[in-house]
Amino acid sequence: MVVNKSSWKQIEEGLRSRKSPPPHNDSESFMQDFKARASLMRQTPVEAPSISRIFISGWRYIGVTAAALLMLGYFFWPAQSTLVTQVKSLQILAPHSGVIIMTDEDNSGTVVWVTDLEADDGSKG
Amino acid sequence: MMRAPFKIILLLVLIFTAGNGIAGSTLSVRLVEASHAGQGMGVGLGDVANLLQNNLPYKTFQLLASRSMPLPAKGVASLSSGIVARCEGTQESLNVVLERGGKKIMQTSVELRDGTPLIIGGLSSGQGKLIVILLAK
Repeated sequence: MVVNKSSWKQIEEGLRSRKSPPPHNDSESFMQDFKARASLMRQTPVEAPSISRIFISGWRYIGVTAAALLMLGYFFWPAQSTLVTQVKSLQILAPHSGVIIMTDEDNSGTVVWVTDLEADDGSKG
Repeated sequence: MMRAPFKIILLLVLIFTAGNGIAGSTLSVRLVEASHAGQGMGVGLGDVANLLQNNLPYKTFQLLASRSMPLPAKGVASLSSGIVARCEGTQESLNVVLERGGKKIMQTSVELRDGTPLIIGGLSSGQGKLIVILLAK
């Protein structure tokens, strides 16, 4: 933006006509005015982050990330969600009528029950 | 002094490995007779009492025999009543063959969780049923 001298003149006259406060002529009065205005606002000191603080903060992020990954792995690892014994395969070689496989998570156990299993003693259950 | 993030990671690793549940070193094989004669839980069945009583319709559970072998297993557990359990494999993949009187009754492949028993039942006995309990500890 190009401002020529005549423009500056116009600005000066405009400010004067609007009765704007006169500019500070010395630094002391400027600083007094500045401090008075600054005291009206809450001033929060800004601390420069130290190297150690950055280092600890970085480790926190790594720790949180590792924790999240471990939790994900714990829940989504194959067969990790089940906490009881699992029957992968079962073959009944004696005459029987049926098989029931129960998982009791409350009592932490698995029950395989074969019905009407003909045992070697000749009896039938 | 250990930093807090390391403590968190160590704790989670311990929880993770504990929750994994595959950490046993011994396989125990028990033979139990379940019947309606009387009422009660026999000696040596305290750890599986709730599991038996809550899932099987019998009043009395009597321990007939108990054997154990190291894991990974490769051995034969000769129990009473002519029942034999042939166990082979790791805790994650354990093959079990049950025999009675020299004849194979059933064979199964299981993944045993540490401290969580597998109950195999249905074999007839004089007064009730015979149950084989497999447990990795």
